[in-house]
This record gives sequence, C-alpha cells and structure tokens, in this order.
Amino acid sequence: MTSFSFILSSARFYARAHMGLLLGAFLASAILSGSLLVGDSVKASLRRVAELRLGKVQVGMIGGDRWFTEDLANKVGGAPLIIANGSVSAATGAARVNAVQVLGAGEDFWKLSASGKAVSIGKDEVAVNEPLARKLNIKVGDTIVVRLEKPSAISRDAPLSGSTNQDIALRRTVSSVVSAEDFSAFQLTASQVSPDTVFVGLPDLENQLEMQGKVNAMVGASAVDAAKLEAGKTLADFALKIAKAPGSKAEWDISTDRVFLDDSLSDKLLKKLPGSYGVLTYLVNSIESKGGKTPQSMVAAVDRMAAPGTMTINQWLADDQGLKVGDKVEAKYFVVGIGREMKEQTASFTVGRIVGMNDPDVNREWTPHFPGVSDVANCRDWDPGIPMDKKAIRDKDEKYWTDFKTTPKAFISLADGQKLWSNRFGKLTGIRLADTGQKLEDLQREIAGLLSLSDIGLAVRDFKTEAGAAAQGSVDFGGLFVGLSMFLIAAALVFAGLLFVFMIELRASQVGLLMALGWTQKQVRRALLSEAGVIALLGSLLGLLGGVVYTKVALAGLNGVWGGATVGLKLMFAAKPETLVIALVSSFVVSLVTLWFASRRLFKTAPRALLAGEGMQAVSKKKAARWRNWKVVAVVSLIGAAGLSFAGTKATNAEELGGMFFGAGTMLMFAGLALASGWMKAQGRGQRLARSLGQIGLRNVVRRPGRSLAVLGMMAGGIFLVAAVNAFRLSAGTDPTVRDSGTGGFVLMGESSLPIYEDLNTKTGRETFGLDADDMKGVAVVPFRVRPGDDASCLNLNKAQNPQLVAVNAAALDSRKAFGFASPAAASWSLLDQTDADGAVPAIADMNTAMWGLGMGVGDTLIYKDAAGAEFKVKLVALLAGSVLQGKVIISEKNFLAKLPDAAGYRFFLLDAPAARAKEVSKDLTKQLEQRGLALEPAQDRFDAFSAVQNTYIGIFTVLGGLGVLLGTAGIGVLVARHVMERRGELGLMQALGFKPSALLRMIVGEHGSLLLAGVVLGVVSAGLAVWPTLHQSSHDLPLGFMVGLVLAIIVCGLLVCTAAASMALRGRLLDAVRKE
Amino acid sequence: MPLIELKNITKSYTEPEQQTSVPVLRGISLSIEAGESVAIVGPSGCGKSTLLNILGSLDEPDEGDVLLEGESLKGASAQRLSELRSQKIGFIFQLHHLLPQCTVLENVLIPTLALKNGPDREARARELLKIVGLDHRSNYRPAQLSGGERQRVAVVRALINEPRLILADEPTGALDEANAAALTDLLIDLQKKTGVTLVLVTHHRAQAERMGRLLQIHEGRIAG
Repeated sequence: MTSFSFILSSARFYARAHMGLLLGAFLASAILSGSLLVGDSVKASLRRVAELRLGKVQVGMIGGDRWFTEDLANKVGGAPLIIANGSVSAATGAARVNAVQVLGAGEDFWKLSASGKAVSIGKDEVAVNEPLARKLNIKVGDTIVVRLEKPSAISRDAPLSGSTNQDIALRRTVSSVVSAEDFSAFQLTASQVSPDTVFVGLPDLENQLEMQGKVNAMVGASAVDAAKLEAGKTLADFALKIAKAPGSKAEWDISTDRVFLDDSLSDKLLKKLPGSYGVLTYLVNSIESKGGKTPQSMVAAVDRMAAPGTMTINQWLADDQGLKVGDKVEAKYFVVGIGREMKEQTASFTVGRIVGMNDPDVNREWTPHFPGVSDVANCRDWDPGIPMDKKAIRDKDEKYWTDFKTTPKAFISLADGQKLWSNRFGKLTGIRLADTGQKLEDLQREIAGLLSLSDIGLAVRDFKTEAGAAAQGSVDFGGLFVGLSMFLIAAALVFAGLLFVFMIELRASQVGLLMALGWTQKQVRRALLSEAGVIALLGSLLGLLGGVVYTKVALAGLNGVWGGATVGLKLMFAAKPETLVIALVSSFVVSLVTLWFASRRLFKTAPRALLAGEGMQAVSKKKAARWRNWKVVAVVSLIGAAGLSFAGTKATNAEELGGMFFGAGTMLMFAGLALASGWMKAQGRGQRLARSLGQIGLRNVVRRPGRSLAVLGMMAGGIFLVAAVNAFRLSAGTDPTVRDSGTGGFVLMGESSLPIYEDLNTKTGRETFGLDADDMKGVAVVPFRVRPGDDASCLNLNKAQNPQLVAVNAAALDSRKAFGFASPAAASWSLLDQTDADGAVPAIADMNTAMWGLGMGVGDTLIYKDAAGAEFKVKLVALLAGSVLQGKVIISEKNFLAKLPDAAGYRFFLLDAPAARAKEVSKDLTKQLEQRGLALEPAQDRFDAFSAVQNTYIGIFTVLGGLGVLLGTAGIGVLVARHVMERRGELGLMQALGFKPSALLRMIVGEHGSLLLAGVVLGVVSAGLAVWPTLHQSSHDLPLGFMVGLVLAIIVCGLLVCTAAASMALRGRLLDAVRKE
Repeated sequence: MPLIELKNITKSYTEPEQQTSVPVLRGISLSIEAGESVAIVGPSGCGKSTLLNILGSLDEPDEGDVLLEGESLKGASAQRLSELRSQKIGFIFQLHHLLPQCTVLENVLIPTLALKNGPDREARARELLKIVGLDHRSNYRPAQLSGGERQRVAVVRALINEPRLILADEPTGALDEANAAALTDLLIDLQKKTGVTLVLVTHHRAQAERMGRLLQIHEGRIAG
C-alpha cells in the first residue's frame, strides 16, 4: 500500500460524507467559472459588435467639419465617405427618427463590410439599416425624407459665414434594407447600440450638399501609408486656393473657402514663404465722419496700404463724405462673442491717404469670398449672417456694388485690423506673396508641401485597435460578477469547510491513531487534505460544467430581466479555455486553502485527546480564551467604525468610498461580535440557577461560543452585505425640480440632430423657429456645445476611447446651483472658468462617469486634440453626484471655443419649464424645431435610465447575495443538526425525564433562532452605519420596503432551516442514545 | 541499559469548570528492561492509562523525564516523537481503531507509511496475519470482522514495524471472556516468540498475573 492508494481508498470510502465538500467545491467552481465566463461572453459580444460595426475597416480619417478631396482617399486606397447627422421621416409623416447617421457611401465602402456584399443605391434612392426600417416601419419601395444640414466650409458661428439653417431635404425611395452583416451597424464611435443609418449614394450626396468631389471621412482595410497620404494632399484638402492678385505689385493671393485662414496654416505659411504678408479684410457696418455715413463697407487690413492708426480710403469714399487727408473717421463693426452673438464696436482713424479708383491696388481681390455676400447681385440681398441695417443702403451704395463689388473702400494697417477683427476662426483672410513667374501648379504643390494634414486636425486613426480597446469594456463583467458573487462563493466555501470539518471531527480518532502510530502531524494533515483535494478537484471539475449553466442563466438574465446592465447588447455565450483553467485552479486552490484553514484546529490537538474523542471540544475552550480581550476588541472596533464613517463623508473616489463603506461596517460587526463574546463569557461564568427550558437553551448558546459566534457572524455578514448594497438603489421617486438632485432641477433635456445656432432664450431666437411667446413662458434653455465622441456613461458597455466633450456657459448652471457635487462637496460650476496653472482646461464630470467610465478622479487629466490637431489637457476639477450629465466631460464654452472654434451651434440642452406644462413645452419645441431634429424627454426619465443600470447591478447582487445568505442558512442548518447530534445523549435524558419532543424542538430552535436574529440585527445596524456616508452625500431615498422584505425573508428562511434541521436530528429514538451512554 | 525508564514523573489535569488542578501521577519512577512483560493494574482513575500514554510519548509529564533506550524524551520535537513511535513503539488500544476504509492488510500496513523509505513489509504483514489466523481475511474490511478478529488485526498492526516496545491499553476490555482469553494468549505467545517488551494495562488480575512483572498503581503512585 502507498500513501496515494491510502488517500484514494479513504476518498472512496468516505465519498458520501464528502458530498458536502463536493457540493461546496462544485458551487464555488461553478460560480467562479460562471462569473468569469460572463466576462468572456460580454467581451466576445462587444467584439462581435465591433466586428459588425467596422467590418473589414482597419483605419480611417474623420474630418468632421473639415472636408477633403475624395481623390485623397482614393490615392491611399481608402473608401471615401460622407458622415453627417440628420433626421429621417416616412413620406407619410407617420414617423420620424432623429439623430440619424447619414452616410454618403460609394462602392469601395460596401467592399469593407463583413460580407463584402455590394449594396446598389440608384439615383433618387437610399438604403436604410434594419433599426431605422423598424423604427419608421418602412420597407423597400417606400419613400422617406432625409433632412440634413448643408455643410459650410466655415463654422456657422463665424462672422460673415452666411445664414444658418441651410438645411436640405432629400426625398428618396428605399432601395434596400441593409442587414447586420452588410454594414447595418457601421459607426466609428464605440457603442454596442446600433445607430439608425440611412445610406445615400456618394455622388448623390456630394451633389446635394454642393460638395462635389469632397468628403469628410475615409475608411480603409489596411494601414494607410502616412507618407503616401501626405504626398497626395493638395491645397483643396486644406480648403485653400491660390490665384494671381491684381495690383501695383505682381503677387499671388492665397485665400480660403473658410473666409478666415486657420492660424495653424497662416502662421506656417508666413514663416516659410519669404516676403509673404497677411491681409485681413472685414465687413464693417459703417464708416462715419462729420461728412456723413457710408454703410456696409469692406475694409482691408494690409500693411503696405496704411500706416498704424491711419486709414487709407478710396476716392469713392472720400467723395461720399467729403473727406480729406487728416480728417477723423470712425469704423463701426461687429465682433463675434460666444456663439453667434455679435457686439458692435467702434474704432477711430485718421485719414492718411486717399487712393484713386483707378489705382491698381484698389481692387476686389483683397476680399475673400463671403458666403451670402460675394455672389449676390444687390446689396439689399446680402445675407452675411450678421445683423444688417438694409434701410441704410442708398442707391449710390448699390451703384458701388454694381461697379466695384467687394473692392475695399478703406485700408488700415494689419496690426490695427487684427486688433479689431481677430477671432477664434483666424486672424487673416489672405496671404500675399511675390509673383516671380512661378507656374500655378508648381506653386500649389510647393505650398501644399509646406503644410501637413495634421495642421487642420486630419489624422489617420486605427479604428480596429481602438475598437479592440473599447471592447475590453468599461465594466469588467467577469470581475463584476465575481465581485457580485463573492458572498455566494464565500458561502459555498464556508459550507464546504463546515461539512469538511464535521467530517474530520467524526474521524478525529483516526487522526489520533495515525499520529499514535508514528505518522507526523504533517503527514496526517497532508493525507487528509489530499483526500479532500481529490474531492475538491472533482467538485471543481464538475463545477466548470455548472459554470457553463450558470453563465447561460446569467446571460439569459442579462438579455432579459437584467437587460438594464447590458443596455442593448445582445449577449452570446463564449468561453475561453484559459478562463476555464483559471477558474478550475482558483476554485481548487481556494477550496484547499479553506479546508486547510478549517481543519487547522484539529491538528493542534494531542493524539491522546483525539483518540479519546475529546479533540475539538478541548480546542474550543482554548479558542474561547482568545476573546478574553473582548473589551479591547469592542472599543477599538467601535472607534474604528466611527472614524471610518466620518472619513467616508470626505471620500472622493470609489476606492476610498468602498473602503470606508466596508471598513466601517466590518468594524461595527467586529464590535458586535466582541460584545456578544463578552456576554457569552459572562453568562458562562454565571452561577444562576437555570429554572426553565429557555434558560437551559441559553446555557447551550454560551456553551460553544465559537460555534455561536460563527452563526452570528455568518448571518450578520450576509445581511450586512445584502442590506448595505441595497441601500445604494437609486430611488425613482425624487423630485426632478430639486436643483441638487440628479436632474439638476431641469424638467426637460434633449439633443438635436443638427446644431441649433440661435439662442432659444431670446425673442429673436424663438422667432426664428416660430415659437409662441405664451408657450415659452417660464421656459429657459441651457444649451451645450458638443464635440462628438464616445458616450462614457454606464449606458455604453464599451470603454470610451474619446469621451464626449461638451461645453456650457458655467454661469448658467452656477446661478441655478444646478446639480449636487460629490467631490469636492463645496465645488461649483464657476470652477470651469478658473485657469489652471499647467494650462489644462478645467472640467467637471459625473462621478459615475469619471470613476467607472474613465477610471479617473479629481485632478486627473484627459487628452484631447484641438482643431489644429494639437493635444490639450482637460483636468477634472470636480465630480457631480449621480446625474443626467453622465457620459460627458463638461468644460466652459469659452475654453471649448478656444480649442474647437469650428464646433458650431448647440446640440445638447437642459430646459427649465413649469412642471405642469412640461409635456406641452416639449411637444411645441419638438414640433417647431423638427428640422433641426430636436428630441426632448423628461430629465427624470433619463436619470431613471441611468439609475436602472446601477439598480440592475444591485438587483444581480441581491439575487446572488441572497443565494449566498440562503446557503449560509443551510450552513446554519448543518450546524444545528451537528449540534443536536452531539447532544442526542443529553436530549434523550431530558426526554427520559419527561420533556416532550416538541418542547425540546422549541428549545433548540429558540437557541439557534436567537443567534440568527441577533446576527440579523447586527447585520442591519452595521449596514445602516456603513451606508451613512453615501446617504449623507446624496439625496436618494433608502428603499426601506425592499430591505425590510429582504431581511424578513432571511429570518423566516433561517428559522425554517433551523426547525427542519432540528426536527431531522431529533427524529428517531433519543432514548437509545441514553442507553448507549 | 533499560529499554525505557521513567524518572519521578508527575502529571495532573486541570478541571476546566472549576479551574482546579487534579494530580494523576505523583512522582513515578520505573525502569523496564528489554524483553520484559509488565502488567499495570489499579482502580479506575488511578492513572494507569496516563502512565501508558506517557510511556508511549502520547502525553508528556508535567515533571520528570522519560528515557527510551537512553534517549530523553523531555523537550523532544513532535517530529522526533513521531519517529520514535513509528520505529520503536507499537500500540494496542481498548478499541481496535481500525480504519474502516482500509482492508485488513492495509490496516496492518498503515504504520509502515510513516516510515520514510522503509522496507516493503507486505510479506511480513501476511506472515503475521497467518500467525494470528487471519491470513484468509486479509482483504476483508474491519466491518466484516468479529470483535476478536479486529483486535487481533490491531495486534498485528502494532507489530508490523518490529517495535521494541508494545503498549497495550486494556486490549481485551471490549471483548467477551473467550475472545479476551484468546487475545491474552496471543499476546503472551507473540511476546515470547519475538522478545518484544510488553506493557499491558488491565483490570483483570488473572490476565496481569500472566505477565512477568505486575505493577499496582494507587492514587498516582506505584504501590507494589
């Protein structure tokens, strides 16, 4: 015989006794592997979504508001693409969907889908994806209307950018409904929710948008050669053009479709083109002097035409106002404020020179193409996008326009001009350089070569890699489920440990015998643990099968009742072999460690005592002595609990909060257990005569304090975890108008498909959209600018790679004291306007977004790219308590526009409105701003949607934790049964003395029931203290009803288990036990 | 040199409820030579089993020393005591303490597993089982044996590692008269054949008188 065969035969012989251990190991392994497999499945599902949304796309370039040539994409083998936002409605008007992704796609695009199947879109046709078809309830052959904004080369917020609301409507027939495999889910932002998409033929969309040959995105299946891309660029990709300029000198004029040259380009060109100089031409409202007033005049700021402080005027202007050199003139002009807000300002000059109308330098080429101005026949038809007093236009002004068009009437120095008219869009409208006989094509190539696409923020992105990183998930569901199941796993292990200990207690004499026969303690222990290891390994292996079942049940839950946690992601089962190995090894090792820990007491007992059957009882008495210092433990624990609770009020991040949360509760539980231990000791010493069965039962409770404390601790721990975590359920019943609540006190909120440029708080803004003054009474709008990015809220399971950046006028929120701050508690929105020492842009985000979506806290920084492609830092300066602003990083509008001047208009809105008229206001606004695709919803609904995710997690934990507590109560049942079995002799004696079995049952249930109740009370009180910091920080109500129900269920279940276990153990002839003794 | 020697051994137990100390052995000195057979008799609670446990290193004295073949057991590590028990001492208890999961042969061989790189003793086990008349039951489980047979297996188990000393604590206590007499005969016979030292604790005067020496314990002391 070998040790191994001894172990195997022992395992075989005690197989039935090992069933508890097998079950415990099975459960631990099943829950652990199942939890990890849930993580595998979520990741695999996210990867699948990423595969479907990107197909074969590896890389790409998104221009956004920057349009580049289709040719550039073709040169590097990419598929040119137009990505726009819009709204789509059925031609019948029966349904409308906002925030639709409008894609202008050519043949090359379809080749990149997972299937590679070409989708043919003919003239006057569009294709729609499945979600959009579903929402609109349309099919092939139906007619839809697609509304989108005509792009502008320059931000619609820029001065002289022309009028806003240049929308177009495409009436098209649906030629096909695109399936998932054929790019139905295509989108370049990481989200598990398929967008609503309408596909328009690329040439068709280019024509409709008047962007022939231009696109704002490209995608490709393989890495793009950066050198090839740079080599392929042309001036058109920078929206630049060059032409010979008439004048006294032979010059070339570089201008842009964007009116203002980007600083990143103009600075580079002025530096690299020797002898070049800048020009800034602006439309002033009037030029006035004592001699009169000339309306709407172009003024060019160019150094070679005027000295600083002086104005060179043309003869026409001199004649109009009778001006001569030395006269004073004033120019009145608009400067751009926040948004499209214009402020009129005045500047004074002295007439320094008068130039004749036939002077070669008096020509229209100084003026760039102003949309709504340059191409208009009459002055009175101008639509420059700024307020204009058309009544002031005289016939002679019309005549000037007819004769000289945009020829400047005056010139000032460039320094003076830039002082007056520089804005966030640029400080020059043109650059002049000497014409030395260069060929136009050569010069175009030379100038393009001086620039880089990154100067205007055009850079190739590796979408596949980004998608891979995003698919890792913002939430590690494997870790989350392990965490949520931890109590259940622990309960399974405790259950296994308990049964193992009982099993080896029964074999204590064997242990004693082996030691008496010369086996060392280590040999005996190794043999027993190896025997248990065989069972644990078997249980763990079987547990892997159970894990698969557990995962499938969990996935069914996540696809069903727990759908709130996966927000739209259809989960599929996936299992990685390495995950199974990790789960197997972990559960096996953890089981063995548990058994080693559980059995350590037995091996501290002398062989003689074990042989005599005294073993564990002797140790229990020693163990009880460890609690001798219970007063110290109780006092230290109470102080610790109070300290941690107080510290919890100051916690600034999840780790700290979590630490305080469990720390305070645990310390209080320790204190409670220490006090209970002290009480048991006092009772044990007590010499008072026991006069009732109840008092005898009490003696039994204190007879084995270790065992009693184990019952107490198990119940208290279970209740504590389940009750404390449930305290974080977010209640839907909060008042949405409370300013420091999650809604910020706003009644409505929403997004628009297309930017809204107008201020909806002003009369003009409201009139633009025909909003009724009475309907808008009491309505105030807080608009946000939006830089498109990944949703970093809990509604996006992907890990946000480029979190959405939004901007707000901080004062609008600060004056309302909107939203509560979690960290620092005394923070305010004015922090957004403060300047940071290291130049970072201050930002505020929702606490949940920062902690879980971004993994950041106050003081951490994010990196974004500005319009010129340069990186800038955004530093989190404060965190909001749970709010509807989840998923966004919020900065001040001023900082936003400084970095991203092209992001025109507002696309996210919070609305104050009389609560009673909220529906009416929402309906009115949505209708009047239909063309902009405005969609509003009650802010409380959005908050509830966010809360649902957290509540779902808590729900999952409750179910798993509840199962753990039930397993714990089953453990108590085992303890009860064991306890009764040990006492069968004395119980038999009591029966012999005349006690009825029912009285004995009541006594036993009373003993353990009192422990159970004490454990429940300790758990509830501990949880109450532990969640105090969280409740203190937020205004959410405690779901008392739910918690009371849960606790009552646990008590009832525990008492039933105790009764059942005691009944079973008391069954049979107790008197036989007396006779045996 | 005596095989085992006790020098002024005292031992007391603490009564947990009353927290008082109850003396069991009071200054016992004893010397047992190799090959001797010794019976220890005395009333219940006089300390017979405690004395035997101290002789077998299953318990340690409060005071005094135990010398096994001249080696002091005082302060010896648990590891060393295990080695001494596996190599030099065999135990027979009142209850057989056979492992139910093992066959008769396996039960006999269990002490050999304690020996590192020990010789294969299966042949010896079979031979000893033949001597005690159980060779035909070597593959039986303890549950399939009678009380007397189980105790004979326990005797063989005690002898398997060729110990110098056999300590038997009321080995016939759970047997009927006939089986008790048979087991006593077996023990005396084996002791004579193998020359092993036998120390027997018993209540039975007749059984004790068949040993070479008889020690009477009274109130924790050797009375004669």
